Amino acid sequence: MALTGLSRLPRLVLGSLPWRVLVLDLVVIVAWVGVVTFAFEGAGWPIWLYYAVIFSGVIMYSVGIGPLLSRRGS
Amino acid sequence: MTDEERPDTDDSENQGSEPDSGVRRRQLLRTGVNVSVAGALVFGFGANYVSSNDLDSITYAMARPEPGATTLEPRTKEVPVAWHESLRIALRVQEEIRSSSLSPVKGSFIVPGSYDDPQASVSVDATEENISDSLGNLTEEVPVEVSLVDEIPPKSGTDHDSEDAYQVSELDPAHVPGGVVCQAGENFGTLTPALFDAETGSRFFATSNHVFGASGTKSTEHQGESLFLLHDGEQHQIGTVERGYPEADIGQIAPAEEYRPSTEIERASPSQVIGHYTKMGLADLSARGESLRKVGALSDDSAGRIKGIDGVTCYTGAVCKSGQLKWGDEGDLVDGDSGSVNFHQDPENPDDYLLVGGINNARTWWPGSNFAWGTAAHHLYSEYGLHF
Repeated sequence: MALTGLSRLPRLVLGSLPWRVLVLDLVVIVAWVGVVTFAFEGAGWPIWLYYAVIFSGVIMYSVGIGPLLSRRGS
Repeated sequence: MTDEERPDTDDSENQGSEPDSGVRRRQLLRTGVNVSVAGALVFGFGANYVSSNDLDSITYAMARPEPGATTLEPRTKEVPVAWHESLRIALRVQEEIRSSSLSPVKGSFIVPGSYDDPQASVSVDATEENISDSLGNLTEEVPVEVSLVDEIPPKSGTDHDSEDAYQVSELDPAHVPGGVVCQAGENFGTLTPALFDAETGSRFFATSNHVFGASGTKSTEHQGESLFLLHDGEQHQIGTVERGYPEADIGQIAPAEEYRPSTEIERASPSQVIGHYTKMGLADLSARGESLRKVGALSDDSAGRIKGIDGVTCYTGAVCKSGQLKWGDEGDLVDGDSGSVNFHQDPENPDDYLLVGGINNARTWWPGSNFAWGTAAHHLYSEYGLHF
């Protein structure tokens, strides 16, 4: 049951989200994680803050900024 | 799952809220995918990369590579950057306090943070309440805890009989261990394990300088005076004073011809001393809540937590002393234990070796304070070129 659910996931994702959106998100997230990681590596801030910044950034982007970008793009 | 598979049917059914429901579901899915991608990146490499920089390397001890050696090698370990940084700032502040030599300050120690709560602080004993104002300028970044002490009363002498003191179990001149009673004139003390001159590598006996009287203020006045070892109630002259160090309260004793100091501490387990903890090493012990132990000729074996490092004390003697270490309770030390060392197992060889924290010179006898203190071994090494 769970297995069939999982095997459907890629199709589900591709079905609901256009590949251009997925690529855009991937690029943005890789860039974001890269920038934040290098910043934290340099500054030596605490690791919990690193997680907080990464994930709140990703969530904010996905919910707020991303849809605007992809809508404008399409 | 079935709902998500048919987003369009759902949308068409809810014309009123269209396109909210479908968009929201798509957004949720997108967020989920994005968080997963970010998670994979972060846990795959990001977190490791970031935390690789959260550690600093410290030299926690100076140790002889093997018991017979006379030279020291540094021992290093990794500690969290935040803790190290906080300690460094506190050390700088302590240096300021030391150089300002405010007369109401009787004692000032650094209390290292723990690894969970890395903030180091400075603990000051002062005879005036308004000292906080004068200190405020120096210690902006570091929390300072001031405790008010009355002018410290003179210490009342407590007489202990040498018969109560632990005498060396076996008189082997080639192997005289630390932790046993020694006598100079009327006074008793405890022998340290072998003290090395870093330059020449030669071994010396040592005990607290105040065992030779005059509150430990003699530096060369007592040169040539004898130090005796007690065995079976008899005195054996094991050496003569080479010189005293009033600011460290340690007396360096040149061994008499047939006697040789051993690097062991009798009744300690393990008993072999292999070196000493550095200032950072003591701070690390403190951060981990580890105890120091001592074996004194009178009060035997006891253990206690580190209460402050890199201290300046002006409680006794004519001069203020730097490089002080305070630990345990005043009950951990009685007259006659002076000259014993405090130690902790060598973390790399816990079953075989000990590393010395410092020499035990005194304990509190006034109300409001409760600890034993003395000159740290790292200070003996850096200031006087002497080591265990």
